[in-house]
Parts: sequence; C-alpha cells; structure tokens
Amino acid sequence: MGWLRLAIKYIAYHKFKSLILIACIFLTAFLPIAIGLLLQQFNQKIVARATETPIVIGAKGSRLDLTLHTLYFKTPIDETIPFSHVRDIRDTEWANPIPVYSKFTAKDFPIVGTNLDYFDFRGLRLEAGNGLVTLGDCVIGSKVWEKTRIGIGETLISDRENLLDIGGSTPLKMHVRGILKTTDTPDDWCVFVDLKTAWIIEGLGHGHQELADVADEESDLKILNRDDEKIVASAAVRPYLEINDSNIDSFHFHGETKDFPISSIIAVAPDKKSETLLIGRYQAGVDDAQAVIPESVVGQLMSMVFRVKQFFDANAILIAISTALLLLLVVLLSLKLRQREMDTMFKLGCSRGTILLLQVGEMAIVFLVSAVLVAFATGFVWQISGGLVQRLLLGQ
Amino acid sequence: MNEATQIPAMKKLILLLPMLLLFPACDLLIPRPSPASSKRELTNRVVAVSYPLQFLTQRIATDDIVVEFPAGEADDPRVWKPTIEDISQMQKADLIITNGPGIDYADWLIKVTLPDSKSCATSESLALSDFIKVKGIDIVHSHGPEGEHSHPFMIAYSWLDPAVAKKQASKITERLSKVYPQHADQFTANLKKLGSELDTLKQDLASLSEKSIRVYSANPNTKFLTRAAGISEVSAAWNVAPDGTNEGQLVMTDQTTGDAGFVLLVQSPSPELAESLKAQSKTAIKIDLLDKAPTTGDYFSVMQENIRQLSSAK
Repeated sequence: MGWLRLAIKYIAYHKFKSLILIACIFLTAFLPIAIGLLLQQFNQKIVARATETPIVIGAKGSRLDLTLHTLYFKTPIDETIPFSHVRDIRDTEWANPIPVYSKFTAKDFPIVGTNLDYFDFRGLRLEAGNGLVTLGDCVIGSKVWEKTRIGIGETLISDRENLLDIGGSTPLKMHVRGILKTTDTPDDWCVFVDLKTAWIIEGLGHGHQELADVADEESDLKILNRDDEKIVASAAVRPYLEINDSNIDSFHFHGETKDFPISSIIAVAPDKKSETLLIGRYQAGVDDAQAVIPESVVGQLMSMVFRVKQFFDANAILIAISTALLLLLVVLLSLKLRQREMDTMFKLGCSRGTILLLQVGEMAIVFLVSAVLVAFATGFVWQISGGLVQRLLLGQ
Repeated sequence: MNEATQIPAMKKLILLLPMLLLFPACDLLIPRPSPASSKRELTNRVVAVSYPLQFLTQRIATDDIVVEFPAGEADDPRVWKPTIEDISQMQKADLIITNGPGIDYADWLIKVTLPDSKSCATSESLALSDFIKVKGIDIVHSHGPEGEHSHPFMIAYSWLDPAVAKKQASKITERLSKVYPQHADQFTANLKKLGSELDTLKQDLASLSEKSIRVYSANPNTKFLTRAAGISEVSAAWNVAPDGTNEGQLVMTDQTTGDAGFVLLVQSPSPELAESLKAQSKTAIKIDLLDKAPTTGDYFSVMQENIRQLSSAK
C-alpha cells in the first residue's frame, strides 16, 4: 500500500491544488443535491398540508392565494365571504364547515379566528394551559411562545392595521389561555382565537360603558343628545380594549352574524360523494364564492415548479460535464508537468502499474474527500431543510 | 463482524456515493403525516342551555344518556356566568342543545367558545312565521363608526308554544340520532310519544282563544304563550322613577289595542305593585317562563298551570 501513502503525501504537500479540486467537485455535486432536497422538502410540506385539507371555500379570485391563505395564513386575500356560507354548508350536511378568518396580527404573528373543530381537525394538542373558553381568549402556537415568551395568563395585544388610521380596528388585549404542542406546521406560528373574538378585533362587536350610567360630569363629553327614548353618545365613549369578567356582559355584536366576514371555510366531508356534491354546488351557482381542492391547486403549482427545476437540472448536468472536462484537463496537464517525476520513480524501480495506481489513487482520494464532504453537507441540509422550508413558506 | 461481511457493505457504500452525486433530484421517500383524526369518543353526556330543552331532550333520549342543564343552579340561567370548568365540561359533551338563531336564549352562549359541530340549534327546524320579533325597547345609542342604533330583539321563550317546542323536539331527535345512531329507533318512538303530549297541550292552550281574553303584558317574553293561546295583548310598560317610588304605574305603549283588566307578570308582584294594580282595578296573572326547573312537576305541569292562570282572565 506504498502507493496510497505516496498519494496521500502528494495531496498533503499540494494542499492548495487539492483543495481547489475538492471544492470544484464538492460545489458541482452539492448544489444540485441541496436544491433538490429543499425542493423535495418544500413539495412534501406543502403537499402534505394540502392533502390534509380536503376542500377550501372562499371568495372568487385567485385559487392559489385562497389556498395558501387558508393553509399558511400568510398570503393576504382582499375578498372575504359572509359567515352565512358556514350555515349553508352545515344545512346541507355534506360537510363540517370550519371557518377561518385571518386578517389581523399580534406581534406580526397571524391571528386566526376559527372554531374548536379546527383544533381537532389539525390534531392540535395543548402543551400547557387550557383551550379557548371565552371572548378575548387566545391559544398560541409553540413558535409564538418561543419568540415572544408570552406565557399563560399574560396578555397579547393585536397589532394595529395601520398606525395612521386612528379610526381603524381597535387593538384588543387578548388573554393567553394555552400553548399548543409543536406540530412543525404553520399552526406553530399562529395565535388562535374564537371567530367571535376576531370579529371584535374587526370592530363588528364591542363592549362599552352603559350609556344610561354615564355620570353627570362626563355627560357633556360623552353624551351628544339624551331624551326619554334614546341617548346619542359621542366618539368619546370608547370600546373596551380588554375583555374581562367585569365587562364581558357589555360585549355585543352589531348586525347579523351571518353577514360577518370570514376568509375561507375548510369543508371536511365525511365521504367522497358528499365532497363531490359540495364542490358541484359551488361550481354550479354560488355567485360570490368558489370551492377549491388544495391538493389539486398545490399540485398544479408544484408541477410548474418542477418544470422550472428541469432547467436547473439540465444546467447542473452541463456544469458537471464542464467541471469534469476541466478536471480532466487539469489532470492531463498535471501528468505532463510530473513527467520527470514519474520517470525518476520508474528509474528507481517503481513499476508502470504502481505509478498509474499512484495517480489514480490521488484522484480517487480527492473524489472520496469531496463525496464525504457532500454527504456531510447533505446530511446537514437534510436536518435544517424542514425548518428552512417552513420559514420560507411562512415568510418568517 | 468478519471481513467477508464488511466487503459487501463497503461495495454498497461505494455504489451509493456516485448515486448521490449523479441523481441530485432523486425522490426521497418521506412518509406523509397522516391527517388528524376528527373522531371523538362519546361520553353519553348532552348539555342543554335551558330547562325546557333539557326536559325535551331527556324525554327523547335513552336512560344511558345524561342530559345536563349546567345553568340550572343559577338565579337567572339566561345570564348565567359559566366558569372555565363549566365551559370545559360543555366542550367535552357529545351534543350541546341550544335554542339557536332567532330564538337565542342563553346570553352567555355568544361569549364562550363551544364546538360548532357539537351544537344543535333547534331553531333550524322552525319556519319563519314561528319566530317573534319585538321592536327594540333598549335605549338608542350611537358610538364608533356605525352611527345611531338600538337593539331590536327576538323572543327566546319558544317552548311556551307547544307547537314550536314540538318542532324543536324533532330537531333534537334528528341530532341525537346522528350522534347515537344505535338508539335512533328508540329516539323516534320517544319523540312520537312526546309529540302527542305536546299536541294535547297545544289544544288545551288553543281552547283559551274561545274566551276572548285580553291582558296587559309588560314583558314581551310571554308572547309565545299568548300567541299560542290566541290571547289579545295590550302592550304596556312600567313607568319607574329612578328612585323606584313610582314603581307599578302602568303606562300603555300601544293605544290602539284598548284596555284590559289583567296584567301578565313573570314573577310575583311586590306589595307596592300589588297595591298599585289593585288601585288601577287590574288583576295580576303570574306566568312561569320556565327559566328554571320547577321544584315539583315538570314542563307539562308548569304549562298546565300557566293555562289555568290564563283561563282565569275572563
């Protein structure tokens, strides 16, 4: 095995040249593998979430935006649908409709207004605390807790939509009731509230001081007009910013809940027939809403992504070929330069076969080191790809 | 491990490395997470938000199903304040029987989080003509962006009309049968029996219409009862001074309906009110709205007592 020792010594002596060769092979091989891995993870994550979500119903418009908004709560959608769709679907008994209303944020994490069925549907379990109980409660995902360190019993304030719009939605101080277990899904990054709490943040419901109880010294400020039948209050009567035991009774909604907005509905049908009937209903004649199958929408998206990836694959192959040719050139030139060295070795009694073995061994070691590095780097990317893709999908 | 077994393993590794290099986009088989199961274990517990709903449900359900009325101990079940434990227990029930939109009874329902898929809104079985809407009697007020407004409301005490209660019972049966399909036949048989009793009650109530009864009614919550009985109501309001000194002075709010000698009350009159009524030559008739479970008897016996009270107003 003297040839191996000599080959190693040669590589160790010509560090710079060897490192360049290793880097060339490593980068040529690793980059396409890393991209392939990340894309695979992306595909797996997005398809898995889409497959778990049978039907999404939302406002007519971009099917992709509607799907991504419902699955990841990130892509904003302009149009909403009235809550009456939830009751309509429930009346048909074709599916259990789970409403989703995600318009607001708290510390930049999406606030998702929904009902308790969502937690069962997604398999979300509590790590600590309780689930949603009353208006103003919230349950936070594990990542929200990690980033904010706001614990159970503490409060989380919803973000203002626009700092300059003083007449816009009023921030609500929500009580953190529980923290969810990590699921490695977008749900980890969300603040969940009851749909009614989301409507309160929207301003559709509120609580305020009982107008009949306004003290005389405040009445000039707060009461514009008062007679036997009615009291007209001024804007000085501000809604409560926090829902607690002392003021929860004053909270009420204005308007019919059936007209209140929701972003979308996740319809969970018990069987394929019900699913088909529901989709048919929305394809046939519901003017303001559409039903989409997330798996199909995401499938179309991914097929487009994979078509683009084919160009990258072709590019990677061409780069690999050019790198191989360059390596060949380097090796041939190296052999030329080392001709005198080889002649000396031959004269010292080294056989032609051993000399060939020495040179092949040098290249094999370079390839082997490159392959090992690629394997380690691939393992590392594999480890971090899940979180990386999750962040990419959630825009965190 | 001997050398003979090590060599094939090394060969495999050598073969694997070029594969990794040559097929960067090869599919890596990753198991997909299975969708979360939405199946729940049944607890054989059903929750009702009012006594009559509890009564109707218990009559329909089989003995192994416990029908609870958690607000039953409250002074006023309509404005009961459930604790976290109460809400948690309700969330675990198999079914939550509510009056539903149009006849919303429990004010606390909108302030708590309950699973929609477990909620049974009995109003879904009603026709539009079954509901009763009353003009807002609250103070009109204005604040925020939506301008001047008051809160008109719907009457919730639907069970005071046996015909409406029967429709609600049908809805309860339908939902119970879905949750406990193994008992569906028994539920249907129980509903049939209950329905015939409600029909009898309806006839007893309707027979009052022949007596041309006219009453004052200061509380709109009796309207399901008076409508079912065919009784003419004179809407009225109590004129109460801030210090309470004028309590009991009756003021008619609808002049077109004429006068009546009887006043429907939902609770026993205070001595001052009784005196005031006597001075105005009015007789009080106490109607039990069935907010709370009766100490003796049940829904039917209370309704029969209401009929007896109304029949005295001739």
